[in-house]
Amino acid sequence: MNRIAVFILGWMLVLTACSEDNGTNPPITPTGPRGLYILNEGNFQRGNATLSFFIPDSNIVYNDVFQSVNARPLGDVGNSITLHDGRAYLVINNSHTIEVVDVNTHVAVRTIASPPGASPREITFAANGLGFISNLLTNSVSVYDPSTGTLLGDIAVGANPDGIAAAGNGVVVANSGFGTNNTVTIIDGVTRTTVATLTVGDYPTAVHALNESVVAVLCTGGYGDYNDPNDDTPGGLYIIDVPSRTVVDSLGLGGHPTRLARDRDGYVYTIHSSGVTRIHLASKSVTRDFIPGNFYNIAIDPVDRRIYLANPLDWVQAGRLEIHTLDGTKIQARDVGIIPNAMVMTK
Amino acid sequence: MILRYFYFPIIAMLAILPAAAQPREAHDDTLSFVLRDAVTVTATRLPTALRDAPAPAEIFDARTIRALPLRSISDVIALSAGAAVRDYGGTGSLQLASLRGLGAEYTLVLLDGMRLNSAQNSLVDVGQFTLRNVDRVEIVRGGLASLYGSNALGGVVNIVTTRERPPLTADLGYGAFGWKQAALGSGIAGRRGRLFAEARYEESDNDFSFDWNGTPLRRANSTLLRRSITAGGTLLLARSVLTLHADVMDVDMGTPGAVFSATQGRARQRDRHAIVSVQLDAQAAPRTRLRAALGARGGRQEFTDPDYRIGNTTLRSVYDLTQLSASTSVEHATVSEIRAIAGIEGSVDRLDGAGIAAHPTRVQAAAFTSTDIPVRIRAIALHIYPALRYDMIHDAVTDTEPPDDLHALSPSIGLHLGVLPGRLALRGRIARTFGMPTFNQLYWREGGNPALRPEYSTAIDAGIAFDAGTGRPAVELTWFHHDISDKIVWTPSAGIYWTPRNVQHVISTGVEAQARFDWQWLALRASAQWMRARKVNAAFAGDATQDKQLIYVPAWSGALTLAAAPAEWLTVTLAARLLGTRFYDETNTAALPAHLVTDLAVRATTTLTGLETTWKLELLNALDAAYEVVAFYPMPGRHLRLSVGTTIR
Repeated sequence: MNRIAVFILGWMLVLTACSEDNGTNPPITPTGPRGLYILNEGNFQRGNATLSFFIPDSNIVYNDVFQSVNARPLGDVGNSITLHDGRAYLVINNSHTIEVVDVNTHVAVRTIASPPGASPREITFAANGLGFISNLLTNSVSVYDPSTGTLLGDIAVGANPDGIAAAGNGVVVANSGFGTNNTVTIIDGVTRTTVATLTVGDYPTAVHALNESVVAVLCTGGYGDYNDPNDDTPGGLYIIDVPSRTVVDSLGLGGHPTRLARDRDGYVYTIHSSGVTRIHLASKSVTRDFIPGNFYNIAIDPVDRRIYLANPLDWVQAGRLEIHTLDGTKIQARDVGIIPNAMVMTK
Repeated sequence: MILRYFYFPIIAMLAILPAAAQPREAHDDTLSFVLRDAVTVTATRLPTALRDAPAPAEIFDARTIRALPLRSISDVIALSAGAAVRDYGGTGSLQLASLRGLGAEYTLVLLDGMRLNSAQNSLVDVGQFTLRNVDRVEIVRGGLASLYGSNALGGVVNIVTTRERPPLTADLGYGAFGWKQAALGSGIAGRRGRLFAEARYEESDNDFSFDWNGTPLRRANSTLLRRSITAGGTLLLARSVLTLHADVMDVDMGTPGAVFSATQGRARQRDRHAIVSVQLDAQAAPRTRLRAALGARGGRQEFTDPDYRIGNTTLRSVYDLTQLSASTSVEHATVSEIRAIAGIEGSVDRLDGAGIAAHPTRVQAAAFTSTDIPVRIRAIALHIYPALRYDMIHDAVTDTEPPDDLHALSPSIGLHLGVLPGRLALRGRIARTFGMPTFNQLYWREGGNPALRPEYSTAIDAGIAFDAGTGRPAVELTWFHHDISDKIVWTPSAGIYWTPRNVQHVISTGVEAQARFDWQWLALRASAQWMRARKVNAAFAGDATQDKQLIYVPAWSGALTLAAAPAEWLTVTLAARLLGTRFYDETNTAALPAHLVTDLAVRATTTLTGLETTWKLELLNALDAAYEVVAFYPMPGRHLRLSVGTTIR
């Protein structure tokens, strides 16, 4: 969609929003502007995960989009979003489901039911089109065929797989072990078999594809005895060349970082307890507290050159979406759902 | 299908009963909820007429409990004004009672005066206690730390057991969702006292059907197997009475969890515990009584979830809890009718479990006094009830710095003004209370906070009671205000686990109304409450949870019990509980709708040559309400239970 059309649509939505006098969300129009999906985790065991949709061009946030469009709740504990082929895959961890949503209409076109007790965390798609779902509590990765909407089976991996990302047809899984593991498993997406287990740092949690053959793995670092900070191990970033199944580089980050995002300027971003950490991959320069604050997740819009940060406030009530420029300058903050978590630009 | 299955035996039973019915003893043929002459020992720790108590109190006696459609102590509590029970799914599921919206950890539950709230988490699953051993249940609302110490911020539930049994009793129960129950008991009574023993068995599939997002589902992994033995007795000595109560229970149950998918989980819990208590009640002098009690409690809680794995290890948590307690008190009445009780208490609680660091042992010592000072001003009878308690709590821990010892002084003063003695009374009470942090809050290995402080509260009650006399209505109206500072809530920490902190200020204010009416063979009891329980502080500017109703606290609720005894051998009872809309998120945007649950019971007794047979048919959730008390935990729909008990007297 060209930008003028988006602009016009955006103003239409603004005017629609202004005409509302009851403070509720304006109606969703199924025209599919480019926007940011924010999957709000919701409170554990309250079944109140929600989906928010922020349209940068109109500067409108639509909250509870999934419920509004599909007339049913999303489920319990929204964990991650992955885009594939015009659809958003919303992984609802404690409902053991993945909702497949058309990004233009927000209509749920399919619900993938994970195996009993699987506790799905993330889904990624290999170059051959197959989806791979990390199952936190069954130590497995489920293979999903989007052409038929069926699960093809499970692949055993390491302990408590969490983050997952594909580089070409190589699928890299972070075996978190809830802090007791330090490996990643590489799956051949074509043969659907594990081909390597590599040692990285303690508590690998996030995987991000840097290109068609290289992934970055974020290790949160071990906590040991939780009440004893002296036995903690520091977090770090590990670069893996997937075709050669080799850890090619690593960088100590200190503390216990979580999440991973990257821009097109050669930076990756992670989150420490005191704020966003920016890492320049080429020079390995690390800027802690690049954006200070209490953040739960991060996403980068390389087109508009924005950093989106999920601020959960007190983890109980509706959180905030913070919008910053790539140099860290805060532009605005908007109210979204309870515990904003994963975010992704729809186009 | 289940209903059809029951029709034949019900109709057959009803057809047979009138012909076989025989008159019962005169003292046991009338139901009454009024209990004008009932005495509470919980409201002041002194035997006090219910009508003179300074705090709002209710008593449910054994006869009432037997007649009503009640399954466990939790059902009794749910009928009380100001009470709510969080029921996680029917028979065998976790059931937590709270008074005045203050949470289960602020409701102290006593068994014959012995504290059941564990040091581990302060919670008591009131659904696990059988009604068969109950002599009465006393529920007293208000801050009662001046009498009982920690946890009594919202009130006290005191379960008083019976030691009396006929020579032989045998009971069988059968009902929907695979419910079966059997009990066999025996008692002997002589000049020197009584002894009894009873064994019970209960099982249930609890596999009721419910609607889940338009899909019919059946509750899975919700089975219950409960086995228990109770024994006790009373030894009558020259000027004293020695009583013994022992209870051993083994419960194995599924804990299917909230319904977010069709599979409902595979987690299970097994609780085993033993309780022994010995009490001595001696008449030391004509106006002086001595009481002493020893109690011991040991138990193991085991939770397994095959679906929750860390690495290749399935979650299995085991906690061993040991509790020892002792108390002694002296009660004295002066010639001017001033009565006072003073005593000391001590207890030791120990918890072992992999999830708890430091192997904590809690040593508690307390001294208390409570007095009833009657003052007569012409026709007006005034009772003044001052009370004071000192608690010292010390945690002995290993491998970590122990928290500071707690020294808490908890005063209270209550007034009862008989404006028209026996008819119209005003009462009021103000108290300072506290709640000690639990072992979980202090020492949980991953997120415990040893720096926690106790929670403190000021509780105020004011009420009016009017009793029109026998055969006429009696009504009570009570206003209350509880102000809790430093309330402990779990908050996110820098790491991956949450940690508890003293960060909340909560105020609960409301009005409770009760009405009771006896007319010939009908007895009616109704209660209603309005309550506003809210967090009043702001954690940050724009805190959307400020001044919002606490989760699961209804603004309105009520209960109605109606009992009819149209014949000496027959009682028909109804118990209805209305729970208003409850929010289940802190910003009050998501709510469970109000629901009304109505239970019915028909109880008939026949006696033939010393063999007394009692039939009790219960139609539970008679209106087939589809409801949840806790969000995403469905409750069973309409179902039947039939119990038959035979007693040889």
